Amino acid sequence: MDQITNRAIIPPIDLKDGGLTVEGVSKSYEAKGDTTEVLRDISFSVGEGEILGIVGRSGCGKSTLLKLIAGLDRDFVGRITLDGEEVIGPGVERGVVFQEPRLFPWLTVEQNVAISIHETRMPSGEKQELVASNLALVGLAGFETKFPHQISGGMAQRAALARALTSRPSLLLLDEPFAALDALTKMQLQDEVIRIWQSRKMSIVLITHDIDEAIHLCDRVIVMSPRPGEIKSVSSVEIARPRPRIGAAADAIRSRLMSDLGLF
Amino acid sequence: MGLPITFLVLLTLGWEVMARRLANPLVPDVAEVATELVDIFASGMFFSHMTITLGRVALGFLVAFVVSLALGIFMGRNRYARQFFEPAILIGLTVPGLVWALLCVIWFGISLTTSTLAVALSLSPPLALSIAQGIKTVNADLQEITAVYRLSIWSRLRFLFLPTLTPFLLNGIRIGLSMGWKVIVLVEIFGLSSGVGYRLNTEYSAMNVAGVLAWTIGFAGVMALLEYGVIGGIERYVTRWRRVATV
Repeated sequence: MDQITNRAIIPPIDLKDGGLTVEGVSKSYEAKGDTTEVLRDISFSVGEGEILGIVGRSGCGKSTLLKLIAGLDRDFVGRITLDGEEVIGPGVERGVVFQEPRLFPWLTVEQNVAISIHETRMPSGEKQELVASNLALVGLAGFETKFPHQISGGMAQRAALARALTSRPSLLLLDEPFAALDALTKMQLQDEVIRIWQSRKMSIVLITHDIDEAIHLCDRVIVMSPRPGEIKSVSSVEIARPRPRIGAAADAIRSRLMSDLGLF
Repeated sequence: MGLPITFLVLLTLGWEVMARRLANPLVPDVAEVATELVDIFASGMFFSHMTITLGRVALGFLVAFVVSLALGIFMGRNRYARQFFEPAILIGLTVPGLVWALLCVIWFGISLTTSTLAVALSLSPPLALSIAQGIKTVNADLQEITAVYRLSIWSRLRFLFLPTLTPFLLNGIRIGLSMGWKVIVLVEIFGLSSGVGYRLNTEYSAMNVAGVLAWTIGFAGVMALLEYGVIGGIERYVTRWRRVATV
């Protein structure tokens, strides 16, 4: 226990210049008189330009937590603020990528990407440029007019990423974005995310059950324990980028995270 | 292409044989009907009356489309709305088009309201029902995407609801239009002084069976063209994003 407490003491991030804060967030569902506690007293913050990973077994409420941050569910206790403003619903300053690409099958790749800035007031020429540059950023130039069923799963997920990036979010929410991809595509996309993050410097919250993914991408990793979902530990990953996928530093963090997850 | 044409040729031949055997002025032979057909086309009469009838159907259809879309979406998304409007749909589906036609002529006389309302009333129930069922198939994951990027109600309609509803709409339109044609002809027979139905009534009064047949053939031809040509074309275009199985 001591060990965990020690690690939980992380130098507080200066929030004056923005970022995400989650304070005392709890959530429970009620069904037929029974109350199920999903999240209990979750507090953490994500600094501007920081990548925070949240790992946990399935059922620990990590996806629920992401939905709350995305503003898709407003029924919770506690406070969530982004850049000093309370989150009270979805907003284009928060881009979301889910496990499934969730592209509209009847829209082309570029039309799908343009969805995220559809309601933004901007000359249509500028919108087109923005869509084109983000498609190029994720490596989808040349696939603009394809329909989702004509491209591979990895490309569809790239399109979903481009859609989230096009609205120029200050916070990118990734909900197990590569879980449905094959191992090679997954590693490729992880490196692309890092490359894009280095050029854009937005904050990222990555929900994952893949420890290696969390270590490879994140500055800090929160481990959550299930039923009810609680923060078990917070660890910093102090490995210089570009990070090697294997090595002693990564191994040390991996074994720590695994013990926090109760794996051995 | 060959088989449908074979059927039509056989039908014509059969008719000719029947007409010759019966030798009755009430069963005109193919040549008589053809002459009449050429006549109404050449004089431009068919075109002008057909346009009027089509215009009336289009107007009624437009009203029905807007009303059913709103009602269908409302019913599909709200349990209470569905329970409340269900009897209306049921009544609408069971009342024969003939009754709508009669009532509208009685109440609204010879006016655009009569034709529009009669068509709309017979078209709306199947269309609304189809839409209400289609709404239940809207993908929840995509609905979340429209929420994440704060799409307006119109954008949601355009990007999510209408595309999801397309197959249901086309189906509802097919069923609805086939009812609409019948109703508009009835309305024109009962109370209007133009349109295909009016011409049918005139030919009937004059006991000109060849005329009745000619108008019917022309009318059916245009309807078939609309259903298979226009609606089929729209269907192919709006469903072009679908993946086609190769097995």
